[in-house]
Amino acid sequence: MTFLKEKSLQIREEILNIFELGTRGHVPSAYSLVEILITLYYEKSKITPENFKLQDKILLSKGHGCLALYAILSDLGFFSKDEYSKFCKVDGILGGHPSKHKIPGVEFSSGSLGHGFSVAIGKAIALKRKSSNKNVYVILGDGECNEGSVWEAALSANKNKLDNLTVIIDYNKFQSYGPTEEVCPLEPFQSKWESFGLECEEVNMVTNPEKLLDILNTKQISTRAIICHTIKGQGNRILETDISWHHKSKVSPEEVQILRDALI
Amino acid sequence: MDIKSLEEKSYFLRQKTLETCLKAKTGHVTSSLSCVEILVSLYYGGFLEINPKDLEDDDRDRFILSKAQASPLLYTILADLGLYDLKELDKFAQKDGIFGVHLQHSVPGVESTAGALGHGLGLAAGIALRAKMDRKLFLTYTLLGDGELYEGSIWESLKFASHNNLNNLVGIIDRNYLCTTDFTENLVELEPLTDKIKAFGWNVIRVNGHCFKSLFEAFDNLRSRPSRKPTMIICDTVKGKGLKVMSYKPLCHGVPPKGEDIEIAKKELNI
Amino acid sequence: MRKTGLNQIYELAKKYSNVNFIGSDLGPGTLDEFRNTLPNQFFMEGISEAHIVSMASGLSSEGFKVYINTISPFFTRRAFEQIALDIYSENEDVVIYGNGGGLVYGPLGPSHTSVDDFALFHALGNMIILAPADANEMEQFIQQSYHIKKPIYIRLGKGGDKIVTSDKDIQVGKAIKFNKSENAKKIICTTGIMLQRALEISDSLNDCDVLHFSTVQPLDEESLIENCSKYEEIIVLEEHLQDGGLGTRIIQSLFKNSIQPRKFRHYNLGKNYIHTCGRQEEIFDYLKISPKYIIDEIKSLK
Repeated sequence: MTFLKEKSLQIREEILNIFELGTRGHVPSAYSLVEILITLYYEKSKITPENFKLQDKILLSKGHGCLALYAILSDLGFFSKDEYSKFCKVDGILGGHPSKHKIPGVEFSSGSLGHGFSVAIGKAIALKRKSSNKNVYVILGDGECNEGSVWEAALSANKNKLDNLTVIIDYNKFQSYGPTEEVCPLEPFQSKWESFGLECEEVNMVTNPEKLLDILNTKQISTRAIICHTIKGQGNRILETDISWHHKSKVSPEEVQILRDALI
Repeated sequence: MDIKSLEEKSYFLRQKTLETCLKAKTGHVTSSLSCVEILVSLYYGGFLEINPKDLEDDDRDRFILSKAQASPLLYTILADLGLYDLKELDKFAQKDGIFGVHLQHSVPGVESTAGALGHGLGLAAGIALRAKMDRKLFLTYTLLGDGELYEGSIWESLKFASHNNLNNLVGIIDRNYLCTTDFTENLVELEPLTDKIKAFGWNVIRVNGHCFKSLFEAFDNLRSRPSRKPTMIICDTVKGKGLKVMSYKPLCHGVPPKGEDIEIAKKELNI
Repeated sequence: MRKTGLNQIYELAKKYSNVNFIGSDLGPGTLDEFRNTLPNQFFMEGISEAHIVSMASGLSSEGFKVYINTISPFFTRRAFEQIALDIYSENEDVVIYGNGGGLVYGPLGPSHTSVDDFALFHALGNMIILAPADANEMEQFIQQSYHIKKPIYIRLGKGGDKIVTSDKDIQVGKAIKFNKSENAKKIICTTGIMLQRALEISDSLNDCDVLHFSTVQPLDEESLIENCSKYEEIIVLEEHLQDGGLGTRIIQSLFKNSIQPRKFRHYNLGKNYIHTCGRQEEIFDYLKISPKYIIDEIKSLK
């Protein structure tokens, strides 16, 4: 089993642990992100609590995928697993959307969509000005690309010639109301990014997730967009098929056990 | 109208627009002049079907001027069509007149109030969607500025219109390559613009926005819904067309000629 | 005032390399030198206000000071969410430099006038709101703004406003008192370019002082209470809609501190957006809040 596969399974279990102890959360939106975040945090940028401030910047713009981020940050030692039971509670640090003020390791406070790309542009410019060779990665949801501000940012990324910035889209084909293709289609998605002057790559994160790291390791000429084809609820037989799990505000240990048994 | 008459009409409108703005000492002259032929095609070329005697007719075509800076031109056209007296234009942008520098719905023949950019396409898409739902056959046209394309809301509306197959919606971009301070391609690149709009699911036609023959070819046949998707006509134009003293120059945005330029401009348009 | 402010930002940028300016296709002329001499600190983006606000947040989060500039309502209304979440909630070091405060763009209609900005930013209680009256005050404010590492909104006047603050000590957060007569029974509380009008009114009435709140938020309550408890009549004059502006805020403070003037008057722009187009002064006349009307009214109600 590759590192990515092994780690993904572990993180998916951790997400269920937070879900069980915190009794709520957006699990399927977190599951589609798992391979993307692992590739960035463990393999590409090798983030640790010690090097966090000086390393690459990773911004999770789709804040509702935060359970995956929390599981990874606690695994990397940013905070204790005791926080799991205080998820979304007043005495805990882990909220329903990530806040950089409270949670060590969080680069960007998100929740409302369509902000992260522009903030990442600001950070990428700042790094260049400081002559840093570090990169900025921002992860958008597919539904998030409905926001006009994303395309304002795309025009600006091209103008400012940011070869240290990568936009990663978790294209899990579902937004809150239903399939992206029904609510607000994004296709032809690659042409959109290319016509805005970004170099664009596509990766199948289900069958060939290792390719993401290969792409990240190639040299960029301009700002890059990587469309990651994922499945909402990826890696879990139940979550991949049953959309009623998008967000739960109450869950029993028995239900979590059923999900645990359905991990792939 | 034949092309020669349309050209004469365009000349008259340019004169009148300049006069109006000079008198008011305000108004976006150059933004108006770049879209004269576009508006003349719509209003005099027969592509915008309205009845000046019945402005409330629910079957009329709709025209939404999203780049509201071009209001002095539209106001002049509406007066010329007889919706109000041409003399009203003397009170353009005055507090006792019926017009503001931007666009006001209260003026007869004006479909929407506007001034902030990036709103018109969404509004037009809503009108077009309602037409489909009510099985109305009219077309909705909207004229956008190119600088307006920097607003994210435009891209939200583009996606919406294509997703809902609004082939009764016609977008027109007055591609005059100039914003307030600079040429668009120096400020923030918009090209390849055709590719961008196509990637958002629209049928795109690109024409010379000062050539009636090309404009007519583009507008022709839209009523028969040749595409399942909405159509965008990108009109390459010159900001300040007809007034050399104000063409190809940044910083001529939003103001009539000043100082010695006033006489030069008047001479150029024989007023 | 606008030019003075922009020049000051340029001066700051020359002095401090962490100062950045982002404009939105606006502000020609004075900025050319800035762009040419400090291209790394100068950004002219497209007409995309939401993006500019978030981008400023990104720069600030990495330790830069950012001044962002366009016509005021396109920040305050259009990009309010980005300001609230990315700037205010994160306490970023960003100054929002809003052109055309109040009715400066009166001829351009309600889309371009900024008559609800105080109300919007009063909702964000720790946002500093500045409304200088003249170029002198603007200069001081920009210089001080560099050292205040918090979100600031500056409402600009048209420019060419009469200089009236040159002999005053100008500090962010401090109201400025203009004493006109020893036995004054009335005081006008005002802000922004209404100060010049308030002074004109007080010159013509011989029993009226003026208190200028160029910092609208946080309100200098200490000065308000100390001054207002001495007067029989409190008049608020502001270039803002009736609700949510300086007047509302002053009433709140007076009430909280149990100060009850015998009379209270509030001159403002009314309840609705103003669809009548005209120059700033013409609209003041139209709404009957220019000095001549106020003077007549106060005199006749004596």
